[in-house]
Amino acid sequence: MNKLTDDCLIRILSEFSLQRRIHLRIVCRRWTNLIERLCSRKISLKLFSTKDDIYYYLEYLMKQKLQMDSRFLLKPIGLDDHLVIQNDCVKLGQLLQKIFVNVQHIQLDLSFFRRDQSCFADQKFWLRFQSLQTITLYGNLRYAEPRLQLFNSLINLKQLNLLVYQYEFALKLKNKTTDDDSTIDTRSIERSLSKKKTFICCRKRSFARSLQHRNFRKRSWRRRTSWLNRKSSTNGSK
Amino acid sequence: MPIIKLLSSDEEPFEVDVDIARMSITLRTMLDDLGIEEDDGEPIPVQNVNSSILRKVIQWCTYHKNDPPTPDDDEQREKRTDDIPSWDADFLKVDQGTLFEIILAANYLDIKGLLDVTCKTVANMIRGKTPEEIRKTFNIKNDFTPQEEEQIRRENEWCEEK
Repeated sequence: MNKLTDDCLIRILSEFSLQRRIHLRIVCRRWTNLIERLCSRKISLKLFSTKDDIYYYLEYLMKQKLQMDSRFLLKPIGLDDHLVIQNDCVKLGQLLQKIFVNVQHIQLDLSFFRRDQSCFADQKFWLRFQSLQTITLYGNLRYAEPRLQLFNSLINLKQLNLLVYQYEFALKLKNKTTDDDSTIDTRSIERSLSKKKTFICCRKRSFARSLQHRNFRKRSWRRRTSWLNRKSSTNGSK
Repeated sequence: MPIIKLLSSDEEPFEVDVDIARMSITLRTMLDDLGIEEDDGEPIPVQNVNSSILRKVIQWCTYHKNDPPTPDDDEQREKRTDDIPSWDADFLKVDQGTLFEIILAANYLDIKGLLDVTCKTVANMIRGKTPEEIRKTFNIKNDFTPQEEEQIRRENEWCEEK
């Protein structure tokens, strides 16, 4: 093995999933360097909280055929750019920043934002990913808010996708449900994201179609994020 | 069928069909650049490959000469290592040293199919092993300090290994 050139060893290490590759760094310094070199080439990263999420996500993509839609930059999932994260913490944040230095597209589960001591809920974490161009957040909006403010300082961010897994929420949006208890000003989000393309879509095909409806598209971002206000104010009153 | 001569690093000549030689991108480029279409008396030196390995490479190429072209690497494609054809699996039942020599030869001669199948074979040897078992299998020295190793171990705790 020691006789192999770096090219050949990289070729062998490429046969493993990203997750396994990161684990293999522990074999020796040479492997660490080569694996980190491989990781630095990655421009796309998908972060899942459980293995099941991968299958839900795959099913979702297959149903929606989002990759056929030019509005979305999503690619079919490969086994080469996803990680299943069990415990996120400051250490994980540091590792991701260290080895994925050129990542341009990140997809992650909204549930990461509600974990205790999550590195993803820390603005400092995102500040280190200045190469990011696209962020895709997906999951159940009933239980976790996307904390869009975190991405305000990403100067290269061109697109933010929000993939909603919850049909009831989508229906509320569709039926123009508004909240009168709004206390949080979402204009700052609106302003800072105004130059970025933002898409919301839902798991159900019918809602995805309704998003394309002209009247719906004219609705403001503020109304679309009314649930944010409602949730924040509820939390505040508690 | 036109024949050309290849000369291994230990100066053993091999007569090979041009079509088989052209499966190597390195040799194909050389033949095209020099305008060689068939044996003109001068053997083509294959400097980095000795006779025993070159014989194996020619044997592999001869068996696979009618295979369709190997598709380019696609980052998004699913990585599989359980799809090694049985002939190749038998062909690669060699000692570790020979296997690595074949990988180096396939890389130097730029024979993608052979490189694919040999790298997959090594990957299968790594699969399912602990770091310590990998080091032992391939005689790799653990050159981390205990502190460095512990740090990487802690970094690896965040995700489930597949």
